[in-house]
Amino acid sequence: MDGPLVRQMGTSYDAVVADGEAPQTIDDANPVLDDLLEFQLYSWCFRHFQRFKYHRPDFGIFDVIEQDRDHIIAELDSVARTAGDDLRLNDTLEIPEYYRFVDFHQHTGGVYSDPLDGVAYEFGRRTTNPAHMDPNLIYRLSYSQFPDRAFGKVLDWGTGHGAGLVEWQKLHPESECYGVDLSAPCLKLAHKRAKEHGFKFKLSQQDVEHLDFEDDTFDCIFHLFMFHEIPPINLKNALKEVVRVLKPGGVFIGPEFGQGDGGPMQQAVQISHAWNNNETYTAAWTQFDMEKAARDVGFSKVSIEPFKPYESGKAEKGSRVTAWRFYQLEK
Amino acid sequence: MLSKKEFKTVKTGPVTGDEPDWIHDLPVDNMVGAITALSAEVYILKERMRAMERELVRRDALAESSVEDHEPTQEEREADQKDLDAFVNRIWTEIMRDRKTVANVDPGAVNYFKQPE
Repeated sequence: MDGPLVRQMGTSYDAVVADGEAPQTIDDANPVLDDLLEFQLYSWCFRHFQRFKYHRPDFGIFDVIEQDRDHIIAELDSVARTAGDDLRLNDTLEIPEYYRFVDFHQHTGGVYSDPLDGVAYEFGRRTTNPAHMDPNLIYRLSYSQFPDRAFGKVLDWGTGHGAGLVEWQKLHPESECYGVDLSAPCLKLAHKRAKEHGFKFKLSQQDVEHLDFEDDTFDCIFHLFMFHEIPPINLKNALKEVVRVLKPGGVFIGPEFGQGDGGPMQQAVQISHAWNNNETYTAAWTQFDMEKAARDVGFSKVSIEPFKPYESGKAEKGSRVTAWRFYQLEK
Repeated sequence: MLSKKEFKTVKTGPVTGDEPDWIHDLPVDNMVGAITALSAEVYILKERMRAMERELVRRDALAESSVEDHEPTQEEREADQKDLDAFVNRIWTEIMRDRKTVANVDPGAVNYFKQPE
């Protein structure tokens, strides 16, 4: 959460609250934000830029890939047909209700219901940042915070289109890479991307609450911003599965936003943003006690620290970029 | 004869004083949408133009007056017209769009907000 508009929003917010008692809670911050034109514009942008991205006539992602629908499907299916055990899809998998209930990130129909959804999602994530920025930087920043050691078997927990796993394998050629996701269209694309890079991933369509891996399988399980997309009770169930399939001493790692201590304005903006962008379970996630849940399910060490790559160097006036946290849980 | 009825946009007398408002029924959100759509179009063009100009300069392939003196062929004129129509459509659809959301959240999602024991 940064940029000229956000900085101006922060500056204006600070100017308003400077005259009175500083807001202590999100409920205090909301009415201040609600009157800021910057916040109204910010909210409009977050809501509608997603719509623009997917739905603009001619240029929107859906329009662009629709023109090539048959070709894309044929190519994905062609690669999938020869995947063997590298791509295990499950036509009978029951997609969790919470997942079906929300078109996350305003991706119409969710990222699992149309054969082109993986490609649309991949396009979408590449355009989350301006085109001149490296869309894979976030993966490398995250991995730079991992323990500096070799990892044998790793699992990308919610691998999606596979870009995170590709970046991982580039940095960790020693790893045997696995990925799970609910979305078959995404997994097909992830498999194709792996082959394009000459990598061999073991991808499977699974629910993170019910993994079919044996106990003590993985040295490391990682994710990128998954917690806020999973309802609290389901998240705790999923943590139990993570503990089960991690080897003793194995780690479960990844960054997440929403539980930082950037103050009431930061929290209010992030939660409002999440509602705007159909990241519906975020507000519940912000109340989730990860420390307790992690210990309840059997993690022996729990580390929740600021996400260091975004902790420094951006402290311009009005900036509110310090709310990301890095979660490292050890079995 | 001047009518006493007040209209929003219809004028029944001379315009005096301040410039009046003409548009009363356009939601602000739609207007911002149109501006943003236009901005996106402009920036895409800017990026492409910049790349083309750089390439042409590097290759010494363009005289300075070539763009100003350019005359399209009949086929090009027809293609340009289609392009213009599509461009107008992209802006116009944003102004005229309905308010239906493009992505859904089932109201039942609220049942998943509970915290674990």
